[in-house]
Amino acid sequence: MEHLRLIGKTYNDYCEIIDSYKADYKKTKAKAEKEIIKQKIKEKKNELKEYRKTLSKEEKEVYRDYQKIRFDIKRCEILKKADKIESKIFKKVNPAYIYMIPAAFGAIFFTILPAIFMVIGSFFKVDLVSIWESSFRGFWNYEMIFTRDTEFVKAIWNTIIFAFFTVFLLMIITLLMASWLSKNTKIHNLSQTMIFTPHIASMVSVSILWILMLDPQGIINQILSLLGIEGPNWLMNTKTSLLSVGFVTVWKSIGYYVLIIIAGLQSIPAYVYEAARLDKASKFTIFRKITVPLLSETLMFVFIMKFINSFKSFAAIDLMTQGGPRGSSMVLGYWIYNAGRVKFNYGFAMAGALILTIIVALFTVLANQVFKKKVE
Amino acid sequence: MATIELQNVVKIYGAKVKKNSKEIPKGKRAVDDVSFQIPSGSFTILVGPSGCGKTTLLRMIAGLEDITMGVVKIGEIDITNLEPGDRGIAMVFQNYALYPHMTVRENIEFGLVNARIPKFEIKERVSEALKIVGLEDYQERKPANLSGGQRQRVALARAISKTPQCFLMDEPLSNLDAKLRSEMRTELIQLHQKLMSTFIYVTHDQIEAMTMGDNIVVMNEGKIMQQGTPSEIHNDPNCVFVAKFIGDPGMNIIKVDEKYSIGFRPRDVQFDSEKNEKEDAVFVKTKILSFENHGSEFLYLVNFDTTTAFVKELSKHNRKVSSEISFSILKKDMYIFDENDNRVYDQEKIEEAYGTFKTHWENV
Repeated sequence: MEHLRLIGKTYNDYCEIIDSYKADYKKTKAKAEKEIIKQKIKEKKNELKEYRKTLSKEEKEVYRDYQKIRFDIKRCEILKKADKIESKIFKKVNPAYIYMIPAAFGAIFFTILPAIFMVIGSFFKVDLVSIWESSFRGFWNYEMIFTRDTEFVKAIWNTIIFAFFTVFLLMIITLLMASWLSKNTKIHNLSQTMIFTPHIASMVSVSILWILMLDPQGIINQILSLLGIEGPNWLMNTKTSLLSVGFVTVWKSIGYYVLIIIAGLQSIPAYVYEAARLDKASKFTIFRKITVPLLSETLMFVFIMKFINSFKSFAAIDLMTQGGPRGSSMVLGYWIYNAGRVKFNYGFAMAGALILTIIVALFTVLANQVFKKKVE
Repeated sequence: MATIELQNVVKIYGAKVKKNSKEIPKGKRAVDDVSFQIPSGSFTILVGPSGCGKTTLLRMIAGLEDITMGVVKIGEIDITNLEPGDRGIAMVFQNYALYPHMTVRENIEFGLVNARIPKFEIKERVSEALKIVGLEDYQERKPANLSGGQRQRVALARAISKTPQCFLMDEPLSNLDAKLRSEMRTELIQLHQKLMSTFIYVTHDQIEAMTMGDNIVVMNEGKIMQQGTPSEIHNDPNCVFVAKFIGDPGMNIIKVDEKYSIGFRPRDVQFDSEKNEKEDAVFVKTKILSFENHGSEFLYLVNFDTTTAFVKELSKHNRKVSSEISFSILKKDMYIFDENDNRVYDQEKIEEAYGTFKTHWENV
């Protein structure tokens, strides 16, 4: 034991000496003296190396241990210094601001500034090629899209219909599916996975798949014809095009929202259901009076998320109908894209985008109010 | 009012019961072939250590767990396969199980509305139940805005409002603090006297069992060890488990030889008595290992040959640790158990065990 401890002592002594030399080296300024000290350090290091070579295998292990401990102590000293500097900074600045920087960077440059640009731009006749040629027109853009553009007002109504249709269809389907799937067996877990897969798939592949299925001679119409029903040309019919696309987006997002609702269902404690069974409640009463009220916060989240998503839906429309036929499936998201990127009329697009923002905000606030009353 | 009768009740978790098949399902039995009667209007306590199956048994009576085998009857009616709501029982849960989104009044009303009781009667029953538990002023509050004791009272009121034949209570006081618990204990006893219906009360706390019940069922590992009044259970235990479980602390069990062991209560010793040949008693002289101060009495852990034992002295002065202590145990205070931990009643065998014990101790 004693001789093993001696190894540590010798090692530490050597290190102390080397460290003191190093400190001297930093202090001295004359070049000649520096060289001398450098030489001394080298000598001591060599001595330490020689000493190490004399050790046996077992002793070397002890030596390494001591080495590790010394490094660790040094590391802690450095960390302490860093902590001191950190606390000095944080005493003056609220750390929250520092942690916010990365997120704030993205938000400012990709959301807030473009939004301000959008608001300003909506009052100009914008020319993106030579931006200084743009001229201020006041409310001219708004006047134009409401009076001259045949499709804009229709797009607003379509968007609202689309949003309500998808949200309610989604909520009914997901709530039923979730209450069915909220069990922990192999079959239920497998079905959960299967229902979730469309959410992972890209919108493009899902859309192409459904275009083929919704074709007049597609699988859906073939099945319907077996039942003796003549299915319409789903995507090319002015009456069905919007709802068909809505159905596809609902189908794609079922898995994701089912998962959220299942999480909500599982947070309802089991004893509440046991108490309800003792209270003679039928299954339907339990669902209506216990499950839905206790789930209302989750349902509100699903409602608002899907609502906002439906308002800005674009990809599915672009891929499946391009707003047609005759503007029957034109929604605001696609109209804005069409006005800006296709017709290069950025003033119109910006005015439309601002109106979309206002509508989304209005509906979200309204939904929030309604749900808040119900939750309380 | 009705007696509750359990006949050969078995619970095996995860077992699938096929109707009309005589095959006996296999698996660990949480409740193992239990048969007993609960007299009408009694305050029956199911007591036992955690995991002994008492809560499972209660939940089977309530209908929240399937009964793997056996029959449960209330009165003459077989309720084995009835829905929980149709059994004429009400249950109070350990964690109250109130509906968090309903007010106190709605919580109580819910079961009554489902039972299709006319509105005027619901109103009367709710106010009646709230009056009994003393919560008339809290009707419109949500459970989140009530204290633990108040929530438990709401749960009680919900049970009372159903005017059930039988109240089932699953450790209803274990989430309350000590002072509130003893308050609620007396309230429950008074409630029982007022309503005169059958109470079945599950607890792991033997003090609760002794103080509240008039009929105690001691359970261990899914089996019933003993059923009787508190005094019977305390003064006449039929096995080592009951003897050790009931009492604070439980009975001291000392092994005499391979066949017998004897037990005595910590209170049943005579301190500082002289060795007396005439009396039928065993004289013990030993050392104190540690002590607990209970205020008016002291509990000493003393060395007892190869094991240890507790003795309780009613005194204001404590003896010092590791000092000598002498006491005698009267023969009539001793309980004799056989090698299977069952009580021995045979007089000859008692004499034999007592003799061995006495000669062993007089010679130490």
